[in-house]
Amino acid sequence: MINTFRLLKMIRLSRYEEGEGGEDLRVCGYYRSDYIGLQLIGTAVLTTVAFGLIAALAVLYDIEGFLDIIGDLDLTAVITLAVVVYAFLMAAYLIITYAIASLRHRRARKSVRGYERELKELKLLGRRTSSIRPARRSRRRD
Amino acid sequence: MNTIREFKKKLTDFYGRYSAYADILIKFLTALCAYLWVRSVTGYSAVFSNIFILLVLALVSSVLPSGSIALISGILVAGQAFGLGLDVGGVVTAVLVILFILFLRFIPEDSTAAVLMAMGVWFGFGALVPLVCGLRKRLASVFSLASGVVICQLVRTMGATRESLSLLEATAYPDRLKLFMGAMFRPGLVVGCVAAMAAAAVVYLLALAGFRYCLETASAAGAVIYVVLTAVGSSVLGAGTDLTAVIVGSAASLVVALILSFLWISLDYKKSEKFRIEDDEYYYYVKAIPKAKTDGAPYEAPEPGEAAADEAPLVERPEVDDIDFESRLEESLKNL
Repeated sequence: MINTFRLLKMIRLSRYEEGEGGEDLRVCGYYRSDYIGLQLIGTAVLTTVAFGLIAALAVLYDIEGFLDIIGDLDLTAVITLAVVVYAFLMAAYLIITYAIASLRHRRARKSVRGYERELKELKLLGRRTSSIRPARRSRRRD
Repeated sequence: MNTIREFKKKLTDFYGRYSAYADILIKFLTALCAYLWVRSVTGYSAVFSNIFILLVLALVSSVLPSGSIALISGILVAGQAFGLGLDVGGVVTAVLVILFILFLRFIPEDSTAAVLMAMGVWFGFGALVPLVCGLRKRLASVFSLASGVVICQLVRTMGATRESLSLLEATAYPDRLKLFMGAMFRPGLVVGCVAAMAAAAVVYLLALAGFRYCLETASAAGAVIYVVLTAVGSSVLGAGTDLTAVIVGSAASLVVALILSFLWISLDYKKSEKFRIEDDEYYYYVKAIPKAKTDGAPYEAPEPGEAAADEAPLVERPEVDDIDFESRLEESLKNL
């Protein structure tokens, strides 16, 4: 006889794994510090790329004017300004990434804890059923 | 009203029964609309305008996560931009990459809202997506809305500068870039972004408040905020926005948002109850609002004996009578 309760539980767990739970399980595959660290490294690289693109667009907007004034520019001041803007952008995005990554990891842990509890229940359910079967067989042999 | 509720119930039942197919169909139609919109408003590249390629892409998007719609739309916009020239394509790609890195990367599940927002602004319903995002209680999607306004501006600029660009030599990069980027980064861009983000935030905050008819009030307030900020912003920064079109579009957006909010959630405020419960540390003031029923009758819990007789039991009862407890006890004692 099909154990409907067990079947429903298995369907629910399978849906979780294939749906929103897939990402949660992936996130929980990392330690919290590792996950946040990886996200921060990714953000640092991508923010550098974004800053480079913004700077390139700013220069390209009026490249002739830029080339005209580049000789008269105080390079130290320009580089200082660029570094300050870069540092501000980087700090802002690292803070945002840290907050989002830690929140995601916490939510994923919470969600996966429920999943693990149900998985344990499923295992227990299977064990109970299997523990009953040998008794039935032995009785038939008798 | 009952007819609409019955329709809603039928729709919900239908969706519940065929949700697997309905989700794929909705994704396919959304993707197809987005790709056809990009094709219709640009159409500078023969490859990226090919209807069969777009159909295949829409089919692929229907089985991929929803974020793929925004990604493919971005690739299509960039591809069309390369049809105007290498320089324009480079700038458009750079802007799209910046949008992805700074905004959409953090909210991949809401990135479709960026494409929908771009379409909404293009067709004059700029307030629709902010209202819907606010009602769906997704505050992070304000970044998608801003990205959508930028994408719409990109597409508009491509169309507006097409003739001027064709008059310039293909190698006159400085002039072409200055022309394109000058037309792109207008004050209207900032006004559109701020108005959309503020409208969504206001709707989100009011929808959370939980007072009577808060969803309807939130939608109306969001539409008003969108119109006011657009009007004030365009007059202060000289953006030159057509205010009549904005007002009409916002009113239509409000109506659509109210219909959608009714389909998602409809509450019977007349039967709301307030009560207080307490534990050792806190008092809890709870407001319970029942869901509106199709026939208006209150929900009645079924009697214990009324349970359907033909329903299979949810839990398989172990056949305890079949277990020979005596022999099992003897076996366990032997092990001891």
